[in-house]
Amino acid sequence: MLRYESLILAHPNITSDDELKLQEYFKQLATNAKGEFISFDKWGKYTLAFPVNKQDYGVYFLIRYEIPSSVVVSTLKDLDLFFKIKFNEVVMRYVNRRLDANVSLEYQKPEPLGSMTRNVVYDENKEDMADDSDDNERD
Amino acid sequence: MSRLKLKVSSRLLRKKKVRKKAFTGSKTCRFCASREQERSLDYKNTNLLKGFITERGKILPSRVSGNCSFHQRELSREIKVARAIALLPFCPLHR
Repeated sequence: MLRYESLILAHPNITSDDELKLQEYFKQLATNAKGEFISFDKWGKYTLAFPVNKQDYGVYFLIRYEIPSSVVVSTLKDLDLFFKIKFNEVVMRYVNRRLDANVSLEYQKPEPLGSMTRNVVYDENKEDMADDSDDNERD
Repeated sequence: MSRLKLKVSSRLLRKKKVRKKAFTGSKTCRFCASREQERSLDYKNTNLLKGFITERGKILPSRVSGNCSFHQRELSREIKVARAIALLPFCPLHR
């Protein structure tokens, strides 16, 4: 059995139905290949490092599964066709990578790039607080 | 001849020494040094990878970062994968 992971960059306006379809597809893929479905993680909405398909944001999914070595080529081909033909509009980019079976499944989620500068929300209360503190200092 | 040669060479030597000092520090491959760092070398770990690219998004050479050739190759592979999935930029201004 070989352990694989797929990181998918999906359209920011992906619906919950499409997410379920994705998850079910990967479960089916693993079961059809007589493998094992390990995990399906949704990272959430991220600011992309550069626009992809004219989109500044994207939703990442990390999916892990195990498949026997004899059917690796055919299953990865199926996956490729699925992303390019059926889920063409939803999946913008993807990466398939083989993992070491001995290494633990822990990983570090990346921080969204530029989220601190872009997602600044104007808070009136904070502004008022700042003004008050300035006044107190003057007094 | 010998005196002339001595004069020139002493001046050059001083310059060379200064240059050598500037380039040679105690650089070691941090991935060889610790097992944990080696495990954390992954295309998803952008916090680590960001430390090995310049402001312009270029991959730092091993003579600057101090990585061994094996880990430099691995690192550059991971950075390229992270770029492909839009976790890291190719260049600073994409717009």
